[in-house]
Amino acid sequence: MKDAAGKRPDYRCRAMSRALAAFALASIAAVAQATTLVALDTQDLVAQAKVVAVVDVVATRVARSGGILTTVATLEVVRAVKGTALGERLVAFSPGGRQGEWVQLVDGAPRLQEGETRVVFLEPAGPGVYRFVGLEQGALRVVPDRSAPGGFAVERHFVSRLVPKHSGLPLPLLPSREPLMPYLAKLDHLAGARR
Amino acid sequence: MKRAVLALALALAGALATPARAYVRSQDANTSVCLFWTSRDIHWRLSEPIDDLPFADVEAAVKQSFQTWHDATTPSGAHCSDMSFTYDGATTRTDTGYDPNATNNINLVVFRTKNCDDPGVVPTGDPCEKDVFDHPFACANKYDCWSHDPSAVALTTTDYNVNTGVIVDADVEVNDTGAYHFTTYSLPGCDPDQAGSCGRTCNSNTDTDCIGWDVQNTVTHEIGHVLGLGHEQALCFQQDPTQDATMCPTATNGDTDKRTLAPDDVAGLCAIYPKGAPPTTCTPSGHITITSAPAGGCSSSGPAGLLALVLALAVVTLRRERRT
Repeated sequence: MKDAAGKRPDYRCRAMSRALAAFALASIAAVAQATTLVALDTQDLVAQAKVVAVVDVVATRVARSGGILTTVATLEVVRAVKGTALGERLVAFSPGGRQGEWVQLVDGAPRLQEGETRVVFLEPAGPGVYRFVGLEQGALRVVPDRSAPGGFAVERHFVSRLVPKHSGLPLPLLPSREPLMPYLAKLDHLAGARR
Repeated sequence: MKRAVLALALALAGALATPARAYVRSQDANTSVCLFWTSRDIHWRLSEPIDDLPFADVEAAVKQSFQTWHDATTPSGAHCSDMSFTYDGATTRTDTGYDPNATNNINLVVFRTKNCDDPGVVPTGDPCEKDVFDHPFACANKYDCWSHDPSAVALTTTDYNVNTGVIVDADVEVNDTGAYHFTTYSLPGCDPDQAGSCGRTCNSNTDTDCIGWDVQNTVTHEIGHVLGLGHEQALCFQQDPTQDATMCPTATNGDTDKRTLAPDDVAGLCAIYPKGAPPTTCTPSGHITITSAPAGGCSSSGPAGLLALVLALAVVTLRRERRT
């Protein structure tokens, strides 16, 4: 293994770097990859979405059109909140993706992977196709809840206080993790209030 | 002795942690390689026309955004990076992305003034519209329209090699469809870090002689992404928002302080593109670098690394003490 200048790195140096990296990794908070977005709180997300659900990402493929890559995901509803039903399969897309050795990264767009479970907020983007409301804000990861063994939580990887919708006071900072069940109850309540 | 070592470590850690350097490098989600350009001269073009803003004003603002990164200096006034940018002029091209089989890829800044979903923007029956299932963004490039989520103010698309992290193309799209009132206004002698000195904040989308969504502010931030920097959060949401770093993702109507770089932004730039030395790769944290600079050896990009060293030394000392 050589570096950009064709030199072999010093392995003692690399070991030290690894140790420092591990420490630094443990020290920093979750890193957000995002772009300039308007922040949407949970109420906004439910209001703007035609479909709200917990889904399994059952398949992904990357399509190319000229220079543009798009990740097209097939999602299976495992818990419906709004505008869909249990077991329904939905198709949603997200800008960017990987094809061969090339990756197209669109900061702030959800990067979906097969096998993941997400809470999604979708809006129609064409016949039978959806996109995520607020880019990554509309595709929350479902992860094991470290504070409650056996439980799950929703995780935000984006900066949750981005651009205030209106001039004036910024929106409150949303927690990076929330227990799943109370969060779903909140979604049910918000969706129910709009029915 | 044990307490003394701990006290020393904590004192040093505290001293080194203020102010924290918090820049973040963009990384591949799977391979963790950090993104960087191999060239020190990035060519770019600006798409014209822009319907709702004087093109010359936008061009000047975007040029200044690039110039700001080129002119970056450390707090001591040193030019620590030799990254430069070349404006290849206006273009009528509006296509973003990167085609590895094409020879005419360009780095583009484009203001999308139409929404793809609005009636009449994409002719009914156009193949790109029918193709939405397979190529949802095909119409955007063909008809120069915004097809992303309307809550995005601007987006940067970066193309890179997954094995090396080498960036080959980057494009900035600005959502100028009317959702945000973009302006290029500045009062003479304005200091972007002094709130209000560049002009008052616009009250509505029709308000004039005021600062709305500032083009230079927005594009300077996006160029940070072009260079391979991600968002940083540690220096955001400060009590005085004018002290927030350019790579902080917050922005508001009337915001101009991202026109100028914070020391942390400069630290990020110089960590990736050190003057006179090759670009640096990085480990998954994005903070530790192994440079191939002539001096060689290990280097860390800031106090986070020094902090780690101090604590590591403290741990080693305590272990030795325990053994004896």
